[in-house]
Amino acid sequence: MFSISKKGILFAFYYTNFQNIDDLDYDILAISVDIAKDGLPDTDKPIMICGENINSEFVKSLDRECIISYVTEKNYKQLIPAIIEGGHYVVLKTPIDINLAKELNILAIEMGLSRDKIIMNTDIGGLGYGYEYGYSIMEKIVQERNNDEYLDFPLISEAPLESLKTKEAKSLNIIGDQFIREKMIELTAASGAFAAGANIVVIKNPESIDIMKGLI
Amino acid sequence: MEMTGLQIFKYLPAAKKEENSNCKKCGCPTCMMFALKLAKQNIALDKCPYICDELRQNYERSIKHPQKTIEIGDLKIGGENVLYRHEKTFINPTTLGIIVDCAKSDYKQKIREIKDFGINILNKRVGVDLIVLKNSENSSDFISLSGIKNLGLNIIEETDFQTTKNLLIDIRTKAIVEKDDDFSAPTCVIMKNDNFYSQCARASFYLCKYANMILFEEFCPEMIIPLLMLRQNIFTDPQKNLQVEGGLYKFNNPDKNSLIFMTTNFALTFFAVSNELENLDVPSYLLVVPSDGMSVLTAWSAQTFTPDVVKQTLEKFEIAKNINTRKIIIPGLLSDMCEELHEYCPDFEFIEGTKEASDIEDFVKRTIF
Repeated sequence: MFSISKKGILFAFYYTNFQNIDDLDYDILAISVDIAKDGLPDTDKPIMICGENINSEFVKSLDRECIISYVTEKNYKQLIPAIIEGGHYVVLKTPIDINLAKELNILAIEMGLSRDKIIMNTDIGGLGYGYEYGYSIMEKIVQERNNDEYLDFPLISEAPLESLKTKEAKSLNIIGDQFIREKMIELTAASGAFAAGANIVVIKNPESIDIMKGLI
Repeated sequence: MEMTGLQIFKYLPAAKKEENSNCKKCGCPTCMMFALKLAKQNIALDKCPYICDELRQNYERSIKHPQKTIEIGDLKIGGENVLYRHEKTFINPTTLGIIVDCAKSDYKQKIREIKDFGINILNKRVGVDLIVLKNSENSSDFISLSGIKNLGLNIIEETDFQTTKNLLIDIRTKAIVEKDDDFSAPTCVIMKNDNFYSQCARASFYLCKYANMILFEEFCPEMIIPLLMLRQNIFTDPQKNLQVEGGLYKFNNPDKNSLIFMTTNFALTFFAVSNELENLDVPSYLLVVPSDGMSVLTAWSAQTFTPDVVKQTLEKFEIAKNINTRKIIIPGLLSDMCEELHEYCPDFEFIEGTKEASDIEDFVKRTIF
């Protein structure tokens, strides 16, 4: 059992390539559903299963409490019952619109999902590519959620992952060292999401976890 | 917040149905007209002889700028009116500066390095805004550190992150919400010169909340780039559509026979498509049609993306002359326009593309052009 709060910030480490995670100081271990299908890594910390192709059979097969990230307006009907049954957290993802976010929260609650199991992902563009839309939606939700029971949930941001896809993160033809620049871009995206009010930020570089945790 | 015309009106004689209602002494035909003009600050408060103290106080407070603006040459620092960009907009992008120590032997080279640095964001070249000289006087080209300290900025030497963060939030809140004069000076954070990654994370936060200027003791281009990207986002006016310039954009060195895609000039549409084109294993062109920064369907219904505009754009950029390709791939959402476009631009054939940018790669793989 673990709890995700609307206060403070947690850092989820996006686990790929079977890294050694024993010495990492992450709060949540994020893992793609494709890797998770072959078994979950051995950790006492919260595990978040990520991907758009999570199905209810997979959710039913989980033998521990997880965070299911994510469920959308397209597949919530199939997935929410299995998520309720397993007692999992769920990330409800909607495309950069406060009303759509609210609507999906209501639909999920009406299916019987417990309010304290909901995390919102209101989506965000990468740094330099429409990042501000997602940024402002998070700021608005933080402002409004005390007065709106259907927005009163923790926020998760994948801004660092989105920003790592940008040309500025990947290109070798931009001034400076691409390897360093990529990490800086991830940190800036994470820090901006933190400033906007995200309660969970997903990060890919293990070193960035330590840097971000050094801020809190 | 500024007072609205109606908020002002309720203090005037006409609203209270008092003597001197609509007396015209202010030069306006009615009290309502005066109130509306005053709300826009197009008339002086004292033109009306019947202003009550409460209105005077509220009005003067409401038009007072919460934060001063300080100028260094063309740079404007401060002048912000809101705590959240979605309330209106932020105005003057956080100034990013580097302190160069003239006591060090390589300082001239450092200055050159900083001046030469720049990247393109939304087709605009941006770089470091300010070079500040340490251990030197003001010169014609650069400002000195002591010069910076004499501008009336609220200089904050960064201590630990939590303290600096709370201080910045506190200062901005008192300036905006309480309009407290003691907090109206723009803030300038001088970063503690430690690990660049940590500086990057901290400075990013300060840029969002709420430093007006950030000075670094050392120049690290890899750190400045994401800060410039973040700044571009945070200081974009949410009241305006973000747009890119119309034109012919090239991806992966196209030649005369490469694919031509076409879309509108809404920045997010452009980003989504250009990201895909960049990652294709074939070279391509993207013809961006100027359409008031509207996304594809909006532009179509608002008639900013019409066969006529497309025709003009093709002519303006001399596509027929410079490129041999005669097939243009248009957004899938506009598939109904293919024939009409061909009638207007008989030199070209228009092909229905994908509805989503993310399907472009698949589309190119399975289509024979």
